[in-house]
Amino acid sequence: MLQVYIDFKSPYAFVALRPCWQLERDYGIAIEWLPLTLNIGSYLGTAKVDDTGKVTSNNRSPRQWQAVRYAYMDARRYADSQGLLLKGTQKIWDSSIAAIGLLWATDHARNRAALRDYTTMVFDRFWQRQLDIENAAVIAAVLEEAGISASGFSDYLAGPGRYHHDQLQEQILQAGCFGVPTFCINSETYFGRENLPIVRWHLEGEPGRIPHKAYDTVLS
Amino acid sequence: MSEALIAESDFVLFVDLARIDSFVCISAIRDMMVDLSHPLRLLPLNHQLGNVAEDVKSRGQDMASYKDRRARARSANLAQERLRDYARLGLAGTDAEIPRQVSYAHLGLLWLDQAQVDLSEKFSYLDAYLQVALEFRGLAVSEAEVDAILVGVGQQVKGSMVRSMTGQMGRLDEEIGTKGILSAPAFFLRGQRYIGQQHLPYLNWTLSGCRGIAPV
Repeated sequence: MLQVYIDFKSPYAFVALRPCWQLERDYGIAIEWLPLTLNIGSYLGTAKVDDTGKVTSNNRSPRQWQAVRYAYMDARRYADSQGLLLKGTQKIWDSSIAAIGLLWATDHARNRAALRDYTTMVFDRFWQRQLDIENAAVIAAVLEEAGISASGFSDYLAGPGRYHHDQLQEQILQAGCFGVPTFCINSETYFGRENLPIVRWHLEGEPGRIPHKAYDTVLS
Repeated sequence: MSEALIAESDFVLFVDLARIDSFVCISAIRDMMVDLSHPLRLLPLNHQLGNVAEDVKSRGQDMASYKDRRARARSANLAQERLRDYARLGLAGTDAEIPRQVSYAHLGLLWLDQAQVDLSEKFSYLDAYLQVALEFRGLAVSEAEVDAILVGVGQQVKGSMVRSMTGQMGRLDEEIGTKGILSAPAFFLRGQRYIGQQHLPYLNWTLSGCRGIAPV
């Protein structure tokens, strides 16, 4: 069983999405997708920028700005290599509604394609600045567009879905997962897209020595 | 104004000899360089960006609690990563920790760079340093030991010759900061920075003339 933890507001999770779905195709597996909703402000500080990219408010240290700017540059490089558009966000979004949408989609999708479409549509549009992931109606509409009934989603979001999501966040931290994407396989936990070759090594029966971190293989 | 130590046209691997992941990267790039004619520089990086979460002034108990629990999870994950890196070097099951005090060993590496010795000699220096570092198990490798390693790779080091690199090291630290090389291992190629060993296949593809489909 391979578990993949994602957060829709993470650029690194975005650029890992397609290679992860490729794993499903390559190995005939069904990944368990789980939301890890980051509290970014607690470790990277917070900031808001306007439409021109000018910072309008922030409480970040110079070190944190260095880390954030490199991360975006690096993620954009990965996005470019996949032909994806990645526009920097203008604030730190609350991605929990889209995360609860992922839980709902996992339970209600009729097939893997529908689940894949939900994750892809949310990620792609959010990073094109075309999706308000803090709006429950918007997320419900994406579910429907992916072929997943959103009937009852609103109640789920306000009740059991929110409870499940919040409980999950506690369990995830206790299990040692702190960032996205995180891969859990064969009792091992790997943080970062660069571990995809190691995930493949596990899926192939762990032949030889553990491989080096690298990009993933070419997408088909 | 003195000339920059790092030229835009340089291909550089920055390493921190206090970290085992740098040695893993050295091992990987050595294999890669067998088939490449492009010159490679190996330079020491003294200052890691570190855990930037420490800069957050916690507002409220919930955020402080989350930050602490996340820090614990991150620390546990890093410990796991270190064990994997030892395994990658064929040192699985070792309880050795390489020394954290590496400033003189870094001066030695800069000495080799400035002396423009062959890449193979730099690799020999790093191999020998790792061997000694594993024996020291967390204690600093002495300056005399580092000097002996340099002599062992054919350098006629006398007295304070390595120490004379201190000024150059200060300049290098500044250039590394200006270029935004935040941690090691990291690469610099054609004016671009790549932090982390994972970029190696992409750099190999670039240096090999961009043949075939790029790794993504």
